[in-house]
Amino acid sequence: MTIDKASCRLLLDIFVTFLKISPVSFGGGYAMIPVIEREATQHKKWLKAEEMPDLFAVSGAVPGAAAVNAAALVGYRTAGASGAAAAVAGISLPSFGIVLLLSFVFLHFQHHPKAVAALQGIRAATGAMIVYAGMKMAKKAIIDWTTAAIAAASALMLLASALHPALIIIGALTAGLLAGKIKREPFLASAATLIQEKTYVYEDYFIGDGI
Amino acid sequence: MLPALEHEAVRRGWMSISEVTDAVVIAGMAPGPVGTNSAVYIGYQTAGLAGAAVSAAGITLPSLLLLAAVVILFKKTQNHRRLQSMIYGLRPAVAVLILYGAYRFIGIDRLASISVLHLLPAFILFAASFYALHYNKLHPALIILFSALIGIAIWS
Repeated sequence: MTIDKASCRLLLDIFVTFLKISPVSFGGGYAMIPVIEREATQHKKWLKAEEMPDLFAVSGAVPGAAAVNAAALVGYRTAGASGAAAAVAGISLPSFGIVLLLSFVFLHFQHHPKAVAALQGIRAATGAMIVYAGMKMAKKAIIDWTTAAIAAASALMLLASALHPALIIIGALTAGLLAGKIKREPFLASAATLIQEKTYVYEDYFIGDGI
Repeated sequence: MLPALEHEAVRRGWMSISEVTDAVVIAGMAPGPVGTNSAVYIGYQTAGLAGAAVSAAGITLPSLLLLAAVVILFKKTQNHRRLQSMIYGLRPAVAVLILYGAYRFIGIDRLASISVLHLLPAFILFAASFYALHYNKLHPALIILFSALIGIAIWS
């Protein structure tokens, strides 16, 4: 793709659009999804409305934050690989900047007694948020005996061995594929809803996503 | 992602387990995915701005590459079904991993060495946060703010 004035402007446009969308995630990461859809199909008219459900489905299926993945796909469909890069940069920069700021402040004040006390409080709350995220995922994920078995097996392997989490994930994926081969029709019906319902549900982004 | 981050950071001698906990806490206070934010913090503490930038890139890129691969490979309908099967199997494992991450974060194995005086208010705060999250649907940013203020009130 030749870099000329028109495509430069488009890349900048993609970058700025996602830059503005990103802070919206304070309302919850999946709250970004409708905004991304509105921007992509109505305001900027980069993509057609029919393409979006599938795009969001894949974004949620792959590891990594759904919003970042969706941004990458929108950027790619609009302006190729550099479009994807611009979109990802735009959507990641605000979080990056805020984390840097917080890190700097934290590392300088971490020994101040009030900071230590506040942090202990926040630590308790953060623990609750992670547990909450886990339970929400468990409610969505464990829908029959097979998924319960996969969960149990994963837990066993985590606790009983020093197996790297990535290996457990690969094992779970394989188990899922096998289940798909064995079960056929009723399984496919429930799995189809797995992808669909993720696209328009508002969820907590801070801890639930990107874990 | 959290257990993996902890595993790597501690193994390479960058930080201790309690420092990784701090990373997660900071990460939870900012918008964006916790895994990504934790990586940025760990990178920043280990190697400054450059470390932060490198961490951000390192933790984002593989997902995007995987995304590209999935989009290319799963365009056909039968492969779409295979993708569904994989998600079906993946989700239970992810739920387990998140809860395991919570277990490591809370440090249940280390709790025995902490005094009850310290533990009780922390547990009450934990339970209250969870209640507010689940039943009141209170916004996480508010919960963090309140827990910080309550923390200052209790422990300083």
